[in-house]
Amino acid sequence: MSSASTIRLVAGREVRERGRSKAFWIGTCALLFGVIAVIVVPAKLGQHGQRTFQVGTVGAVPGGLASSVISDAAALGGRPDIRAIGSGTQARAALDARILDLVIDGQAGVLVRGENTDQSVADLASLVARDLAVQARLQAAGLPAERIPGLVSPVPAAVRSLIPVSPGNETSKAIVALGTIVLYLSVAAYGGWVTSGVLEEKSSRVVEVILSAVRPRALLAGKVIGIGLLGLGQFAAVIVAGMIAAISVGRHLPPSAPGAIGLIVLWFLLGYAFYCSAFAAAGAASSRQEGAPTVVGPLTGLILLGYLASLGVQSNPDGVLARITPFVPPLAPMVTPARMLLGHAEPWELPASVAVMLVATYGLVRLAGRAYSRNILRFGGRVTLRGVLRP
Amino acid sequence: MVSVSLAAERAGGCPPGRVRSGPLKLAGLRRRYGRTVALDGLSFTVEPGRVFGFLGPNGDGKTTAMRIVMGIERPDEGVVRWGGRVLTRADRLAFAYMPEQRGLYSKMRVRDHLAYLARLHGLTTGQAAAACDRWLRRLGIGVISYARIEALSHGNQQRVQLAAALVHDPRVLVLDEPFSGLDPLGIKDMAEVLRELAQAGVTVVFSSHQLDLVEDICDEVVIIDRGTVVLQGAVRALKQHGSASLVLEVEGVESDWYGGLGTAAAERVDPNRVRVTFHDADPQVVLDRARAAGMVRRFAIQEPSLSELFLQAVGP
Repeated sequence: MSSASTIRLVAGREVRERGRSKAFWIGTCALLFGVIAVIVVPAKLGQHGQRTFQVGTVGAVPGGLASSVISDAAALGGRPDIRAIGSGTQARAALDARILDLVIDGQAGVLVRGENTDQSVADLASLVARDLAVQARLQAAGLPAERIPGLVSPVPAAVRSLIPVSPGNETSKAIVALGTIVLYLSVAAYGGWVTSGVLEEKSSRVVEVILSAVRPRALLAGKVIGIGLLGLGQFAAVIVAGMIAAISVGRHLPPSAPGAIGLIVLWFLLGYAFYCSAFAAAGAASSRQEGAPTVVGPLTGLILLGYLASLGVQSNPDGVLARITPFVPPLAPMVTPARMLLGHAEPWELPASVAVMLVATYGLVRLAGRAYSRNILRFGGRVTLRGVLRP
Repeated sequence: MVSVSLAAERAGGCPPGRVRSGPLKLAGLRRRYGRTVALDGLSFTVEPGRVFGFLGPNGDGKTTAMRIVMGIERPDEGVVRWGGRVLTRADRLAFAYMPEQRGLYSKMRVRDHLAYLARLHGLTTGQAAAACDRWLRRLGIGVISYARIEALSHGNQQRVQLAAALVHDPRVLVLDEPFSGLDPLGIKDMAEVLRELAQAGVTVVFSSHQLDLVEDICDEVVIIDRGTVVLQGAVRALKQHGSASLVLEVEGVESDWYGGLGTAAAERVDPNRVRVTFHDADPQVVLDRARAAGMVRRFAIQEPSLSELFLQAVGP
């Protein structure tokens, strides 16, 4: 029987048996639920997108105030809903009941709830308060009432960017932030599956029966491919669910979104390919299930380090960290999407980092494959790093 | 266990291209682990259609030799031949292996597991399904086809383990301590299956330390000590060639009637009766002396048991 068909058989078993397990479905549902919640909940709470400020006015307010409140709200990325309230008492009650965000009380100034006031409402209040003061000054200076709105809310001068801002940058940031979390969790989780799968075979000794018919490398390849396919399926489901959730809450996906998601999927595959053989070698090196955390610890630590580096790259995608880490293979899967999507990378950087990653993966797979083959039938004895790495 | 004619079954069930057979020959196998020598030029030949017992003290390289035959370990020196040619990986798909420490995927369902192993050994999906049905029926475990292995009783797990080894209709069986952990019924079933397979032309090699059992079901044995063969041959021939012993039980006698009659061991079997075993005494002389001394209740010439041969072979 050819290696390819053996690998297909082994991979098929992994997909079938794990795909049937409760643990897989619980994990998938938890991940889907988490991603959808992260997208839907803030949108429903109005944290993102168009924020509507509920503004009440009491008594006589200066003419042209409405237009200045509208431009103030627009500056904060929202729009006001202005209505007149009968009395100060009613306005206070509405403020207290969170029906109104802020109240413009004729001559007395601007009133907000105070405790737990949203930052954007506080910003709007101070802008409106300044407008009221300016309007009062202009009125006192004897300017005709009809000229005042034009002075208070003029057409702003153009603001130009030194470094051009790509359209949909906010959405890209969100995609990168969420994508990197899912990527990090997935590589660590599927890596853990590989380790526990190898250990399950080893500790139950079924591996001796399997290896009397199959080469160790074919067993290893089938296992990581099977788990990788399941992982890819789960990853794809998360992406589709995330996109549907984003569209259904009215988020606009920029034309660059599919490319961004494609890049994250590419780096998920590269990351899994890089780490999976090391996770398998770790499983083969330990003899019992209890030994697994010791050997897996350094690997998950490395992946976590990549995620932390990615947070740095996301906040400063053109910094030194962002320029270097895409070429450090253990970190690259988590940081490169952020560098490419948020920073201003040279055209050669992506192919170069992929090339470095592929070369490193080839080397690691050879090394880890050898360690796996040597240790998979070795029982008992303590695991040492030297034992794992010795060629 | 339901016993069906195996030859008839194999005619329909054996996958094509599996007709090759012949003696399994281990030639000059050497293997060391650090300073420990596990195999020191081990050589022996197993003919097809025989049940072959592979004996030796614990830690004496039996498992290593079996693993080398199965290709999951490499010898430092020496080769394994099958039917006159060096054994290849493809040949081994017609072999079955049952390691001493049993194990299967505990969460898999019985039938899925058997089918998976059959396919790994080169059977097509259809052949695998047919083989599963046949072996599940034959070992009387059809009703648990869809149970998870972890949910089975110990006895049924043992049967599934045997089915797992046999599902691809192997030409050669290599079993490491197949009887360990079996209850008497399990032992009887296992012995029956091995005998039937051997009669159908399958080569059966197994290691064991339960020597009474080996004596009963093996045609041939090899005893190894410190990684090399110390005794080999047909069980019957070995016993005939081994020094027979003479056993007498005599009642109401003086204590030392047997003095000067060669090596003797005496034990009191009840207050009035003494059993004496001689290894190299003339039976006529012994009998005359015994009759003079008391009442002879038993007089027998005993072939050596395999245990005795084993102890003589590997003794200090």
